Amino acid sequence: MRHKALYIAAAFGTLLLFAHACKKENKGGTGGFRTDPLTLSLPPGFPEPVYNFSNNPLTKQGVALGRFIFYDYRLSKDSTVSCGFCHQQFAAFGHFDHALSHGVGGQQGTRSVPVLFNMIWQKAFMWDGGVNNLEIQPLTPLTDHKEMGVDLQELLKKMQGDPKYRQQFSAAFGTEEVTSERMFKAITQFVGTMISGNSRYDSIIRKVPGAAFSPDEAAGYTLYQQKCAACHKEPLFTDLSYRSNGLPYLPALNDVGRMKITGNTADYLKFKVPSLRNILKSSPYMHDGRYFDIFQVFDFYDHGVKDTVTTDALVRKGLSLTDQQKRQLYLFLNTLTDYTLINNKDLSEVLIAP
Amino acid sequence: MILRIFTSYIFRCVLICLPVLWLCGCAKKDKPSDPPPVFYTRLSLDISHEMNGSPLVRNTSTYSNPLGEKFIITKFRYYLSNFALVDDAGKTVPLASAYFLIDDAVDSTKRLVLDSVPVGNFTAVRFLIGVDSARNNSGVQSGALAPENGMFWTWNSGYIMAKMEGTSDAATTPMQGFEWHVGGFKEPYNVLRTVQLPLSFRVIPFMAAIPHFSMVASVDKWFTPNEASFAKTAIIMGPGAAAVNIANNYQQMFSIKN
Repeated sequence: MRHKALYIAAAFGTLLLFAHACKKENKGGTGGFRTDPLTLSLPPGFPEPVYNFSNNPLTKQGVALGRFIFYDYRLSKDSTVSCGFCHQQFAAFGHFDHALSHGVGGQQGTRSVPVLFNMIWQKAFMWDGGVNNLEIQPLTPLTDHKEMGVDLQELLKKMQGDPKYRQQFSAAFGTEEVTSERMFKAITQFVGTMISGNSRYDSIIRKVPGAAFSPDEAAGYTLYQQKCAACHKEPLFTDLSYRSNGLPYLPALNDVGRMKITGNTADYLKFKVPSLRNILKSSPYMHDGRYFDIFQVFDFYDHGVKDTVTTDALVRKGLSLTDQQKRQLYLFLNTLTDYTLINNKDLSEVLIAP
Repeated sequence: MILRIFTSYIFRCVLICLPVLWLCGCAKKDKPSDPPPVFYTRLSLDISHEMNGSPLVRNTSTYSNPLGEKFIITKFRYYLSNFALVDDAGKTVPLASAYFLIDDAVDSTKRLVLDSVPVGNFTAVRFLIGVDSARNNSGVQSGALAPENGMFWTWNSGYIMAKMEGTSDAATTPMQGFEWHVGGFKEPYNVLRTVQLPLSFRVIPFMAAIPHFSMVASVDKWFTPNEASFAKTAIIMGPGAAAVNIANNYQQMFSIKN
């Protein structure tokens, strides 16, 4: 019994040592900087994304910064145009009712605003595929004189001078330093979360109880499979290829399409096949927005296709459609509208105080 | 008595063993026999720009190309990357990955420091004029490759590998300006060019002095042997035959001076 006190002290000391060891292990080397990781839930049945976030880890703070940048009109030369100005959520991040993109000083571009969703599955960007990585895609509209017309160096200085930006860059990346790399990675994180794979069509394909096509929608789906699916391939409803659909050339715009990028005459008038998802929400149609109504597009494929050297063999002779078939196709396309994208509060506009 | 447990033989053993176990758990894992230390040094490379044997003077000196077209240079910039050394056994030793944007207007950009030069006898230096296709394809970059440096095409992704801008009476543009932006990393309009220059030095272990060399870029080489005319092509703004033509010329512009 003499050594009882000693043993108690030893036991207590051992416990202390354990506690100390555990504490040490919890301390990271990050100096208090911590982000909340995010995992994207990808729609079942979709292929592996092209863009992976291995060099740009998706975090709550990164996405929040990207969203703030996306809706900040101060990014443009005259503080009038944000990314969200042309990419409106209710139009599936396309530009409602505008044939051609427009930007600072009321200027107009030569192509329509592409919709922004399922971007992480794209291999290349723009109507002609000229941009090869999602991270650098925003460079084009930012610096284009007819769009946001900004000088990148001045923009970075402007952001660095804004306490709100410094705070958000710090939260997302650990320090207040504003760099173009961080800015573009944050935008990429936000745009990467714009995913559309939850339309009524998807519920039906996934056999969700109670989800079913009406007879007309089912007939429309069959028509789609026969006449459209070769280019507008499921589940993305595009095969991401570049094709000439025989749309008559417009001298006023003088747009040669993908040939501008490859320098190859075989690519004359070829443009990227757009997705049919959310198509009824994202008019106008075609690379130059010349059709405001989907029935004009049906009519074009029925009797408007111009047969040129590069017109795709699949549509060269047109795709004959009766009035009833057009109606059925319309009803099928309606099932591709994804209200969880259009109404997603995490993607909606944030108000930026001047 | 519950306190009797402290005197039990088993408990004493456990008590003695615990700290020992804890110490074992905390001990740093021994590294499997560290490799012998490798000696690396740096290599310093100073670049100077010349026109017909004299230092290049931007903005004020009027030069003449082989076609007799007079011109003034206002801007002269290019990328160098993928540095490697060739040793006396003919083996190529890549150096630490680095991308340099050399701008005639910024003296500090003309002093390159190459890292991770190992021990050996070297006979040549090798590098790329431009930015390799891997970097051209892998998204946004920082440092010398940051897009705000004005050396990146946005409408057709890719770096401008080298650019020369100025004015020439022969140019038919509104202000007689010419802009030769040479880029493109895809066939058939790939302008990436590798240069290998003889350069003899030896690195021995624990050498104190950093090998130092001077390299000259002769800007007049942009105009030979292939015809490069301001009257015919004042503006080069994308990948294509005109850019490839100039790249085939400027591939010959570098030499080691000392």
